[in-house]
Amino acid sequence: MENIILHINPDTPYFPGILFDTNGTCELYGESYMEEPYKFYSPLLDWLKDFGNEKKPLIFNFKLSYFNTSTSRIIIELLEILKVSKSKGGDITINWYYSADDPDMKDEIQDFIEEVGIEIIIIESNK
Amino acid sequence: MKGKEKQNSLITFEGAFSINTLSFFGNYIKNILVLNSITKNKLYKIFFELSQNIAYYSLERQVIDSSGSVGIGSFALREFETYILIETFNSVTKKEGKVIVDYCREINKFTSRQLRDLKACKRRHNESKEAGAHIGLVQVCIYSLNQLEYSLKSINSNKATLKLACKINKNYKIK
Repeated sequence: MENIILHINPDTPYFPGILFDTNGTCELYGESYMEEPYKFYSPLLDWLKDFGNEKKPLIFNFKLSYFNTSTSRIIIELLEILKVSKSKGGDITINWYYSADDPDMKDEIQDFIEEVGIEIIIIESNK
Repeated sequence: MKGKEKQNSLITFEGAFSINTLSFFGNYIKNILVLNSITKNKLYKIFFELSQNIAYYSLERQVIDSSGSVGIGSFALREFETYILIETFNSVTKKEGKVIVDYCREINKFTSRQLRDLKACKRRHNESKEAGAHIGLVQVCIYSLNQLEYSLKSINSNKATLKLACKINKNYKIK
């Protein structure tokens, strides 16, 4: 497996920054409202499934400041993959950072927790 | 007769709702408008949900390249004393317009909790991988804590102009 790294490009701010590291740290940051979300996220979902098969510890950090409803469906799929990994005995930690100026984000995280049935550590960030 | 509420026109746009155009206006909302930060966050999110609906679903379209097209429509942001009003306009078939109007009427009856449950249900059961998630309007109501405003104006026997609007209060406080 290889790392997936994508930096935020100010010309295309609708694509998030990505850090998927085979050492077991994953991060999704910035904003996500691209036109074809499945096209963008499919390789990442495949990567997570493959990583899950290796049964190594994983810390997943969500640092998205905005995502549209199309992306939210993919986040559900992503969390489902992590849930499956966890159910197979994987050591999975999910952290979600949100701004105090964005109480709606906290509600969305709670909705993900309820819908998927997975633990997410909610962290208020000053950023 | 009541006097008209004082208002400022902040932004108006008519044209193709390409992702880069929406990104430009989103950036304007985020960095130029002077608003309470919670209000600004809500406006930003609602702007994208409503405008991306036009990009995906407007009947009138502009061909981008061989890969596809983008919806044409218009939007306006107006500032009133206690709220910001966002309005969007796009063409639809009369049949589609009626479906959307009926849907808005139903959504407007729901409490915040019911809207979140509806969103969860739709998210789970929509197997389609097409661009829109069909929950954008529900999400707009959740963010704004206000009812959707809507109207359908006939253009001809087949087409109509759909107007969707939403008020975003200027005095949101953290619960």
